[in-house]
Amino acid sequence: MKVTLAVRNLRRSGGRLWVSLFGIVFATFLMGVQGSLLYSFSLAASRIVDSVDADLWIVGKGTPTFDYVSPIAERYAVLSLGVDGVRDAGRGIAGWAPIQRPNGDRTLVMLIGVESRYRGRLPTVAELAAARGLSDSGLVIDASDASTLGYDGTLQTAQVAARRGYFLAETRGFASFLGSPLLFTDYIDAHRFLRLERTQTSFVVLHVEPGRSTAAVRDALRSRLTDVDIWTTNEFSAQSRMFWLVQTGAGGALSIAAILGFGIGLVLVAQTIYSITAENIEEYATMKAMGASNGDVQTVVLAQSLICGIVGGLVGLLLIGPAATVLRFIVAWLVVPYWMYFIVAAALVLLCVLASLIAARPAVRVDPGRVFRA
Amino acid sequence: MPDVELHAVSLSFGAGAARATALDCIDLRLEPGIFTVISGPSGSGKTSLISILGAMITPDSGSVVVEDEDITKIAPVQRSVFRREKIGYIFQSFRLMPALNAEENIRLSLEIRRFDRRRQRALEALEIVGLAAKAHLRPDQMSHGEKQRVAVARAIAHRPIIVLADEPTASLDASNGAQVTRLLAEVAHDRERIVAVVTHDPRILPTAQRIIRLEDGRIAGDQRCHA
Repeated sequence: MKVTLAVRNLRRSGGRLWVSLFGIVFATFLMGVQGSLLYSFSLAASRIVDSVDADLWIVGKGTPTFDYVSPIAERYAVLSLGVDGVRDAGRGIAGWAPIQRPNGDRTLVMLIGVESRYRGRLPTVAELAAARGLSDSGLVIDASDASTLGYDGTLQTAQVAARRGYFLAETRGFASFLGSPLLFTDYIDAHRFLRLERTQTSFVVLHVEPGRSTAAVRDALRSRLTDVDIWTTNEFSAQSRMFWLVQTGAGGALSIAAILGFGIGLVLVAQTIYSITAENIEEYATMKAMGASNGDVQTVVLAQSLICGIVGGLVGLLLIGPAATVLRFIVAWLVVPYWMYFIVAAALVLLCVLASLIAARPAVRVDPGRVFRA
Repeated sequence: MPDVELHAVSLSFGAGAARATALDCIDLRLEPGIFTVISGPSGSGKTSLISILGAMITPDSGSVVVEDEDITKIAPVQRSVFRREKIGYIFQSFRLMPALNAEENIRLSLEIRRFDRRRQRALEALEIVGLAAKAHLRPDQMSHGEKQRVAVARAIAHRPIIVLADEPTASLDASNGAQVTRLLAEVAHDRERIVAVVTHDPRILPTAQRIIRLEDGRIAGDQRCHA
C-alpha cells in the first residue's frame, strides 16, 4: 500500500512529475552517451597496440603512448633475441606524414606498418595490394576516413610525404580519435614513406616463448636494454589509454560530462520528490502518528523516486542506441557496449536512492504530534 | 485489558516569562470498557493530555504507565512501536490519505502496523462502521460523516488497547455526529477498549460514561455517568 500511495501521490503531482521524468531521461541519456564516449575513447587510444600480435613492446625511452613513438635503432630487435625467453622479434613503423590527394588537398595522417608476422588484426596490406596487382606502395584506410581522403573504392594515387602511394582498400574499426586518419601500409613502404634511416625503426615487438612468463622476460629485457622502454602489451595499452584520458584532460572532460549528467538528474529528481514530499507532509505526519517507522516513510519517498527513475530511465536508455547511431557520423569510433546500459541503470538506482534520502528528510523529521494541532 | 495510569504528569511550553503550563500534576486512571470524554475550554490542556496519552510527546515530569511500562521513559523508536501496536487515532480533520480509497486507507494503517490479511481485516473494520459497500470510494467521494467512520474503522482495525479521538464530531452534522459517537461508545463497551475523546461538542456528553473536565492544566472535574 505504501507503493500504491507513492504512485498515486506521484500521479497527483502533475507537472512536477514531468519535470522529474525529463530530468531522468536527460541524465540517463547524458550518462550513457558520455560514458560510452569515455569507453570508446579509451579503446581508440590503445586500438593499434591492442590489435598488433605481440607479447612485449620496445619503444623509445619515455614514450607515453603509441601515437608518440619516435625512431629507435632496429638493432634492439636483434639484441632482444639474445635474452632468454624471447622467441622472435619484429619491427614496426608509426609516424606522422603529410598526404596530398590528386586534387591537391593536403592533410596529416599517421602511417602504420608492422612486419606481417606481427600484424594481428591490422589490415593485410600486402595481400590486398597483390589482389590489385600491386607489388608495393599500397595504402589502406578506415572507411570513416574515406571521404576525408577522397577514396571512392577505386585504385587511386596519393602523395605520402612526396612519395607515390595507392589507396587500394577500406578497412573498419580503425577510426582515428585524433582527427588525423590512420593509414596502413606494408612495413617496408612505411619505412620508405617516412624516410627513416635504414638502421631505424619506430618500435620493436616480441613474442615470448610458450610457457614463459611475459613479466619475467620483460624484466630480463629491462636489465639488458636500459636505454629504451619495455612494456608488456597490456602495460603499453593501459599507458596509452591513461595518457590520452588523464594527461590530455580529454578523459576528464568526458568524465565530468557524465558526472554532470548524474548531478543534473540528482538535483532534478531530488528537488521534485522533495516538493512532492513537502506537499504531502501532513500525510507523513499521520503515518508517523500511527507509528510508521522512518523506514516506512522512506519507503514511500524511495518508491516515488524509483518510479521516476524506472520510467525516465527506460526512455533515456532507449534513446542511447539511436543517438549513438546518429553520433557515429561525427564520432566514428563511438561504441556503446551492452554493459554500459547496466552501469547507467545502476547509476540511476544510486541517483534515485540519493534523491530519496534528500527528499525524505522533511518527512522523516516531521513531528507526529502536529496531527493533534493541525 | 490493562488500565492507563498517569501520575503527576506536568507539561509546559516556552521558557522564562513566556513559559506556559499546559498540564499541572495530572493524576488519572483510564479503564477499558469506559467511554471517557475529556472536555474543557480552549487552552485547558486537552490536546496536550491526549498527545501524552498517545505517546506523541513526553511530559516534563510524571509517568504514564501502560501494561506495566512507563512510556515516558522509552526511546523514540519504542514510542513509535507503542503507537503502532497499542493506539488507534481519530482526528478532527479525518486525516485520510486522499489518494487512497477507504479500504486502502485502512490497509495502509495495517501495513504500517505489520499486520497480515490486511484486505480482510480492512473490510471487517469497514463492516463494523457500516461502510463495507463504500470500500472503493476515495475520501473526496465520501461525506464528512463517512470519512470519519472510515477513520474510526482505521483506528480500530488493528485492535488497539487505546483509542484516542480529537474532536471527532466537530465537523459533522447532528446525525453523523451521533453515529460516530455511538460507534466510539460501542468500541469502548463491546470491545473493552480504553476510549478517550477530547471534545467541545456537548452532543457527545450524554453518551459518555465518564467526563473529565480540564481547566488551566488541572483536572477540574471527574464525573462517572450511566450512559
